[in-house]
Amino acid sequence: MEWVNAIVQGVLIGGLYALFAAGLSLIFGVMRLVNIAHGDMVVAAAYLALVIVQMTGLHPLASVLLVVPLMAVLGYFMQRFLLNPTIGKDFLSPLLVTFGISIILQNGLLVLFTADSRRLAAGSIETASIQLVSGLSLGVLPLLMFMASVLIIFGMELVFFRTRLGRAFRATSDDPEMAQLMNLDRNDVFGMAMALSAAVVAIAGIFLAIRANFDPASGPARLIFGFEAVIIGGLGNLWGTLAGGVVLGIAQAIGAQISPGWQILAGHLVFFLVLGLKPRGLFPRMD
Amino acid sequence: MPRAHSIERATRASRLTVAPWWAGRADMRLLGEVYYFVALATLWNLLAGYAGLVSVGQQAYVGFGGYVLFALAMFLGVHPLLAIVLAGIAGAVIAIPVAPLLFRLQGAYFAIGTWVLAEVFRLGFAQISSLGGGSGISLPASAVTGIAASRPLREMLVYWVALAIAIVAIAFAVILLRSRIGLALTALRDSEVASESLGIDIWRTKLFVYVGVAGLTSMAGAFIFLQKLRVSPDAAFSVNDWTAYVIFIAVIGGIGTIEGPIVGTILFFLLRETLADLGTTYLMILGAVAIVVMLRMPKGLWGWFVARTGLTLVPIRRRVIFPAEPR
Amino acid sequence: MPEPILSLTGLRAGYGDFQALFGIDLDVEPGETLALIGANGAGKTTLLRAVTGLVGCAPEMVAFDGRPIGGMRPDRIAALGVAMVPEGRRLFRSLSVEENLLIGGERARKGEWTLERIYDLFPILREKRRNPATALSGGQQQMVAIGRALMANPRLILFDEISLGLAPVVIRDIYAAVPAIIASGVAAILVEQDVSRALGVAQRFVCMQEGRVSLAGRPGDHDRAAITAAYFGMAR
Repeated sequence: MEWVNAIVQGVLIGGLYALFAAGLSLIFGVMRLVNIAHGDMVVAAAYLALVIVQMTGLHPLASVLLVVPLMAVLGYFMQRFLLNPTIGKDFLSPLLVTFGISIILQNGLLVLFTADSRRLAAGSIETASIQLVSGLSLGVLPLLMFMASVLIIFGMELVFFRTRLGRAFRATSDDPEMAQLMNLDRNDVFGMAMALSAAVVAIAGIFLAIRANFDPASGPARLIFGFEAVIIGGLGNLWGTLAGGVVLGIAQAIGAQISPGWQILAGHLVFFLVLGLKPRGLFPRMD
Repeated sequence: MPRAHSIERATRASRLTVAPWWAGRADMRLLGEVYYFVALATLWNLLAGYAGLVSVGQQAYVGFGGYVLFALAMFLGVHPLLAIVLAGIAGAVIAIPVAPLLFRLQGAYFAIGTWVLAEVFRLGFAQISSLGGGSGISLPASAVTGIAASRPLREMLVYWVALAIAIVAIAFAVILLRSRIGLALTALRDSEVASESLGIDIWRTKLFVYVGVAGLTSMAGAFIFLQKLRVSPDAAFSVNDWTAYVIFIAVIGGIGTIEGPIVGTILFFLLRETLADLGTTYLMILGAVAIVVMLRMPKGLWGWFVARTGLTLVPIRRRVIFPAEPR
Repeated sequence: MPEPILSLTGLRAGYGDFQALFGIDLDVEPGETLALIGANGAGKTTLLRAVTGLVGCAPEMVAFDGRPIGGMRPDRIAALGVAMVPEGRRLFRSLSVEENLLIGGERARKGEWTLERIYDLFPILREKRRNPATALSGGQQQMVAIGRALMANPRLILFDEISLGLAPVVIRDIYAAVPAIIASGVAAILVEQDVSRALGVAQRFVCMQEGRVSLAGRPGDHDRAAITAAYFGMAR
C-alpha cells in the first residue's frame, strides 16, 4: 500500500512538473529558445507570491490574480529587451543571456530574501485529504494542483490551436521569415509567447511555494525537472509533456521509497534511460 | 611580427616559470587560481565556441576529477601529482559512454543535459560514504606530504603543475585547431549540412573534442581540489564556481578565440581584487556585464580588440587568398 | 504621369561575401504586370527578397510609392502593401488551408479580396479548407499561397516561380486566375522561367542575366532570338 501511495503521489506531482515544462516547451516551440532562467522565474514567482500575500493578506491561491499578470508583463519586457536582440543569429547568444539572467535572478533573490528556506502557508487545505480505500488517501491540495495543471495545459492547447495569437505562434514557429512577410511583428509575437509562458510560470511558482520549501537556489532543480519532463514526454506535444511529468514523478517516488537520497537521482537515471532508448521521447509528435 | 610575438611570449613565460622565487605564498596561490581558470575557460571555449557544444555542466568533470584524485590518493596511496594525470584519463574515459547520450540532444537542450549529468555525479558521489558522503572529506596529511617533503618545495611543485595545466589546455586547443580536426570544426561552425555532405564525420569530430575537453577538465578539477585539500559534493559540482564564472570569463574575453579566455580571466581577477565583496553581488555584476557583452560586443573584449587593430597573438586562422582577377 | 509604385535604382544586393545584383534599374507602374525572366542564378529571387526586405540594401535603392524602403523590416514593408508568393510556396505546415489564408489577412488593407472571394477564385480550396495546408497537391498549394498573398489586399504582389514543379495542366489552371487578380488593380512582378507564359500575361518584361538587366521592353518589341540571347547571355 505504501508503494501505491508513493506512486499516486508521484502522479500528482507529475502535474506540477508538467507545468514547469509547459512554459519551457511553448517558448522552444515558438522561437527555438530554451530559457535557462525558467526555473529561476518559477522561484521568483514564488517569492513574488510570498511578498504579495504578506502585503495584502490574500490567500496564496488567490494571489494568482496579482502574480500572474505581473509575471506576464515582466516576461513580455524581458523578452523584448533582453532576448529578442539575441534570437536568430545563433543559439549561443540567447542561451548565454538566459544563463546570465538565471545567475542574476538567483543572486538577486539571495540578496533580497537571504538563503532561508521559505514556504507559503495555505491553511487547512494543506492537510485535507480524501480517503479512497484504507491505507490510500489523496491530498486535496495535490489533487487540486494536478487538475489545475491539466486544465492549464488544455487551455494552452486551446490558445495554440484556436486563437489568432496561437495561429501567429504556429506560423512564426513554422517559418519565421514568411511570418514576417505576413505583417506579423516578430518582436511582439515572441513577447506574447514569453508573457504566456511567464503566466504559466507564475501559477507553477505559487503551487511550488505552497507545496514545498523553496529558497533562491531552488531554480535550477525546477528547470531540470521541467526539462526532463519535456524530453521524457517528447518534444512538440503538451499532453506528452504531462505524461513525461507523471513518469518523472513516479520515478522519483519509487526512488524515494528505495532510499531518500535516491529520489532525485532516480528521476535523472530514468531521464537518461529514455534518452538512450527512445531519444524522441515516449510520445513525440509526428513531424 | 610573429618573431616579436614569440620573444614577448617567451619572456613572459620565463617570468612566470620562475615565479616561485619572486612571488610570495599568497601570490603563488592566486596565480595558481588564475592558471586553472584560464584552463577551464579555454577548454569551455573550445567546446562551445569551436565545436558548438555549449555545456553548462562542465562542473561534472571538475568534481569528478577532484573525487578521483582523493580516491586514488586515499585508497591506493597514489602520488597526488600522478593522480592528477590519472584523474584526467578517468575523466576522458567516463566521457566516452556519456557523450553519445548527450549528443542526442540538440543545442540548448544539450546544455541542460550536461547540467543533468553534473547533478547525477553530484548526487551519486554524495552517496559514497567512504568519500565523505554529503558533507565531504579532507585530504589526509599523509597524502599531502606525499607530494614533497618540505612545504616550500610542495608549493613550488603545485605552482608548476598549475602552470603546466594551463599551458597544456591552451596547447591542446591550439594544436587541435591547427590540425585537420580544427579545419573540420571551422567548417562545422559555418554549416553543418555542407560539412556533412563533404564527408566530415561530425559525430566523431565532436566526440573527440568532448572527450578531450572532459579529460583535461578533470585534470584541472583534480588539481583544484588538491590545492583546496578538501572535497564535498556541493563544492565539487558547484555551478557557480565551475560554470558560471568560467562562462562569464569566456564570454567577456571573447568566445571563439584562443586569447579570449586568457584576457577574460585576467579581467576577472583584476575585478575581483579591486571589488571588495565577493560572492553574490560580484556574481551578479559579472552576469550583467556578460549579458551586455553578448548583446553589444558578441565577440568579447578580445574580439573587439582584434577588430580594431587586426592583431592576433596566436595564429590559428586560415585566410583564403584569391589569385589576382583578370579584368 | 503617375508615379511608379515600385522603383529600383542601381540596386546592389547579395548574401554576405557573395554579390548577386550589380545595379538594377526597374520601374513598375500601378496596376501593371511586369514579367521578370532569366535563367537560374540570374538574381531574380534576390531582387524580390530585396523588395520585401528579406535581403538588405541601401534605403534609396528601393522606393515604394516614392518612399525609400530599402533595408526596412519585412513586416513594415508588408504593412505598406507588398505581398509575396514565394518560390516553393512555403505554406505554414502547422496551419490548415483556411488558417494559412487567414494569416495572410492578418493585418489586411481594405479591399475586395476576402476569404469568400478567394474561395470563389479557387473553388477547390473551399472543399479543403480544414485540411492541413501541406496535405494538398502542388497545384492546390500554389493556389493557397496565392490566396494567402491576396488576403492582405496588397498594392504590389510578387510571384516567384509559381509554375515551378507543376504539370502543364495545373499551370494552365493557375494562370487562368491571373487575369482576375490583375483586374483587381494590384501591380505585379511575375518571375518565371517559363518565358512564353510570363510574356502572355505581362504588359512589360525585364530580362536578367548574372545580376544585371540584359533586355527590357514590351513583349511585342523584341523577337524570340533577341530574348533568348538576353536570357542566356549570348548578346555580349
